[in-house]
Amino acid sequence: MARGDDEFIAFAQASSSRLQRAAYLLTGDQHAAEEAAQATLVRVYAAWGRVSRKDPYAYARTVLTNLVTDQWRRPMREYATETMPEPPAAQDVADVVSKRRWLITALRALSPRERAVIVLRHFFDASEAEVARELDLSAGTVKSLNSRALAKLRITAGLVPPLRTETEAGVGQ
Amino acid sequence: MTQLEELKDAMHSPPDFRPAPMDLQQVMASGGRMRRRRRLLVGGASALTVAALLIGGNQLAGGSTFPTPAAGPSAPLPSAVNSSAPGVLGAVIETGRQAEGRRWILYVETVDPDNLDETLTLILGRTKTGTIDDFRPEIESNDPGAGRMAPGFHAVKAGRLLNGRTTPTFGYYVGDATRITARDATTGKTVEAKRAAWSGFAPTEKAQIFWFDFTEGRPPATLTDLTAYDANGSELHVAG
Repeated sequence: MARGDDEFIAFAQASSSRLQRAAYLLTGDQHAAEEAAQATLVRVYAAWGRVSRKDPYAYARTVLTNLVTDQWRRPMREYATETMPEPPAAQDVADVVSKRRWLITALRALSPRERAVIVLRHFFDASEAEVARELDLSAGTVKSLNSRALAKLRITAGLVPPLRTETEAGVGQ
Repeated sequence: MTQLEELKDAMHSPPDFRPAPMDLQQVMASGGRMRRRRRLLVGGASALTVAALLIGGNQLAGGSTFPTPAAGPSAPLPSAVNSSAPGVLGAVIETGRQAEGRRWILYVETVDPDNLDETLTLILGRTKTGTIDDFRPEIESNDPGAGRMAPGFHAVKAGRLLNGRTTPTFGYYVGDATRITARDATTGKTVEAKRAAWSGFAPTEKAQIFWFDFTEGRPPATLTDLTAYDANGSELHVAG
């Protein structure tokens, strides 16, 4: 094994699931998420000698985001939707899983830029400045996208009945 | 729980998603190839400056073959379809000689830049344009097994006639030699090798690629008593 392989394996094992979840949130597709996470780890390993002494997780986050959002930078039109998914019927959101499922569906309905900002800010807990740098956007644009995306989610989420725990849901049935 | 906290909770536990186990061996193999390709590009860039790296030597004419004191069996030729195809590492050395319009060059290939001690292979090749995709390996030479970065002579190949073309006696030396010589077995004269500095990525990965000059079209000299000297004229290593 090359120098640093043990450290890379430990890093990959610790971060693989989180990277896959982030990729799933960004792509909405399990298979694409696995591929994106694997491609990210390949790039991290290729640069391991350089990034291991700094912050490999931040590097992986940047690589993953760039891999998934690379098509933004191509001259293609972005077809964002302003139509959020219909909120589920009350009986379908009576447990935590249904609520989570609905939120993920709502997340997918955001534009790719809005979704990326939400994932970076609220999944990875990156600062607005970090998001701006990683997405090559201005800080103002990041702030605007974040506010707009949260507003969309809040507006729709506000229609969802108050969350009950799974136990309560079971008792209530 | 606030709505934002609910969103974070949902993102960290998406209900219909289960992370898959990663094949880390595959990840590391692919990442290693990517790393080598990047280094190959670095090696290619260094080819532009190799002429300035020549650090001396005298000419030698005539002769036949040189006993090979350290060279092992040739490695398989690099293949474009081989996923572990070697990459050029470090400076590419111009010998200043050419055959049939293509310049003789010397360079290092490796399948693992992190393990030169077991993988360094010295190549005598020819090129017309000086770009990597134009390199035509003619002779590959390496020591068997490990120890390829140990002090001393390595991968020495005797000059010969190869498909009607004269090749030089060449090899590499690890150590602080300021002069490398050999004895022409026919004339008894001492001849001095040309040397060029070579280095990998680690500060300790240094060597001198050397060759004895030759005249294209004439049989190469028979050389013996390959010797490296330090700045004080003391012998460092003798081979052959």
